[in-house]
Amino acid sequence: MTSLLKVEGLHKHFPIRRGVFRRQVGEIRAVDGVDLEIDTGETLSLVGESGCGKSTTGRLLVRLLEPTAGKILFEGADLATLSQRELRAKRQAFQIMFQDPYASLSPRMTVQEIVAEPLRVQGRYADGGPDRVRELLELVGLRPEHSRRYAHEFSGGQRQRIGLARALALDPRLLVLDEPVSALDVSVQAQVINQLRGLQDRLGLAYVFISHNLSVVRHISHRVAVMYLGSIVETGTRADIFSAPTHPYTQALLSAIPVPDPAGRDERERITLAGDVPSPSNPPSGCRFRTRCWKAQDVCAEEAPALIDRIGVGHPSACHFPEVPATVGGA
Amino acid sequence: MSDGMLATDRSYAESVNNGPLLRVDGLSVDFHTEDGVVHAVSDVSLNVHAGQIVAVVGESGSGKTVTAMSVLRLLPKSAEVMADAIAFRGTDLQAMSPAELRKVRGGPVGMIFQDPMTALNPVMTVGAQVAEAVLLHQRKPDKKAAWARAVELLRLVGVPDPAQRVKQYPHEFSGGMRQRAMIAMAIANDPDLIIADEPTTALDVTIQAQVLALLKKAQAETGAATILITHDLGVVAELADAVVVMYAGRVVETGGVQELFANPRHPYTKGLLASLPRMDVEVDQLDPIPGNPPNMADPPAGCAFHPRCPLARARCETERPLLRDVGAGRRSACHFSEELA
Repeated sequence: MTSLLKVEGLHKHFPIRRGVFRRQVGEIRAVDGVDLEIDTGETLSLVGESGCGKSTTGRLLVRLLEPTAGKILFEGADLATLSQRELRAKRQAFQIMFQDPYASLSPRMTVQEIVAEPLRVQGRYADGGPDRVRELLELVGLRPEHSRRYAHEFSGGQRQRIGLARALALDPRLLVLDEPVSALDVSVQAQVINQLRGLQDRLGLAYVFISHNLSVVRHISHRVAVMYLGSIVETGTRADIFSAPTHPYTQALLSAIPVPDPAGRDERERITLAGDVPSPSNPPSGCRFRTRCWKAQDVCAEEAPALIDRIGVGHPSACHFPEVPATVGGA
Repeated sequence: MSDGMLATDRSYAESVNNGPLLRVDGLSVDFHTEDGVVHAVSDVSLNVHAGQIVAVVGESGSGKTVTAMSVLRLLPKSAEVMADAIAFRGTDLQAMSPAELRKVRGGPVGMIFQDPMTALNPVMTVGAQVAEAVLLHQRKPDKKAAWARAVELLRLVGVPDPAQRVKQYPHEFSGGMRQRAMIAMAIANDPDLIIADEPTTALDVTIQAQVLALLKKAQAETGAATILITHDLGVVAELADAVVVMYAGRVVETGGVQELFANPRHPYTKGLLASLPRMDVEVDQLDPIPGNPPNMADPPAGCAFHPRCPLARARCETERPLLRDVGAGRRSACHFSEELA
């Protein structure tokens, strides 16, 4: 059986141009060799810090950006080789929802118009469009009378629901969710997370969930890929990543999360990484994490570690010296 | 009592001054907008004792930032601030002239703002800004000494290669480094109180961990009390001694951090904790608070939380609960907080 989405050797390099003639003086390797696979009905989370390439990857997956290199196979068809017309037809099956509920909805359109737009673009509005919009609003927990209002009349959580209704309008099989709850207050964030899970169960959707919030990722994912400076450093099931992380970056990331339980705060062991993420225009040689890694040896500067399972834990990690820690983060 | 004694022994000083380091009593802040008057903060009281970290927690629009900003009169002109008392070391800050208040800001009271990109001056080097913070509070301004102190301060907050970095501009600093520079300015004059408004919200989690560790260290070394304004209960649990929970412009619960997390006595606090996805506990379904935070231009009558509250009854719709003692140094503004005990 082929997977819903399969990505091989994905690269996206942005040129850096300077001077009067806009000569290219370098490039930012935002995504640098990413492989992914997603099955129907599952949630794969892409996690990492700002600049790790997770959002760029998300945009590449739905072809909002042209990849520099690499293959994106959606239900077996290579998106790069499709004609414009074929791509447009295929696009109905994969949609994206953005982070900022304030910037991603047009202030001049009513909710009805916003949710109907994808149907119109695909020529599907004439056939029962208004009913479909009503059904979608209901699906995401908005009332039909909301449809005549404008986005600014809604709170952040309600706006994310409008964005979700729009993304669901064409019955997609894959949704890319780019930080869908990061802009929301905690009490509202939980509502949207529960809703996303409920919709997945009902509609059999696959999610690519892009987030920097590991607590949310742990709650919602089936599988997780941890990114650092444009590549995946470790990937596995939720249990693999959260209970048996072998890459030092994953371990540091997990231990850095503040736990909302003051009782054990003085006993908790914490890995504090030194320094900042290096610039993706001039990444370190060999392993990209080595400049912040406490385990780094000479080999790390010379040879980039492949993403493989070196110690037989059942999931791959891109580290020359992988190790399952005795205790992990808040567990 | 000699000054030296006061400086070396703060808790002793406090007992002599007979009161907390900062006392805010009955603070209300109104904003006059096109849509009418918005009561951003109503009747908020809080005490900060020497060396204590007090977290003010709430969601957007809860009034937590406005509360903190009104202490140093940092609000825009459209804000109308009324308070029975805003006393720092026993002196009423409200009665101070703008010139006197400038001596307090950045001197005995340091500030750390949320967004270090907009809080720093983009056309001044970082060193010049840190040195300025030092210079403004020197009796005899000495530029050379201030510059040396700036380098020392940046080293203290963990900026690598500070002698070179002082000559750089804020855009040459990463987010975490900018926040370190802000902290350097806040602790430049050995403050007694630091007001930190969402100090780690704009940062990545590994950088947040660095900055939280630094804040802890700065607090331990300077002994300064801290007001930590945040929406992140994880950060509160890591750092705070005492917690003030705000909702719709009012304090709904206060208490020590351990008790408050272990046994919340207000349904809003309880709901917030239940809606958090957590690293340390596995749950199948999150338990969100239904509905949305209130529109502050038109807040609900009675208890502002009643439309979202599982305990709400007819009484809550008409009668606003007062903040009252519920035992063990805890206070809650709920008619039915006993049901949560």
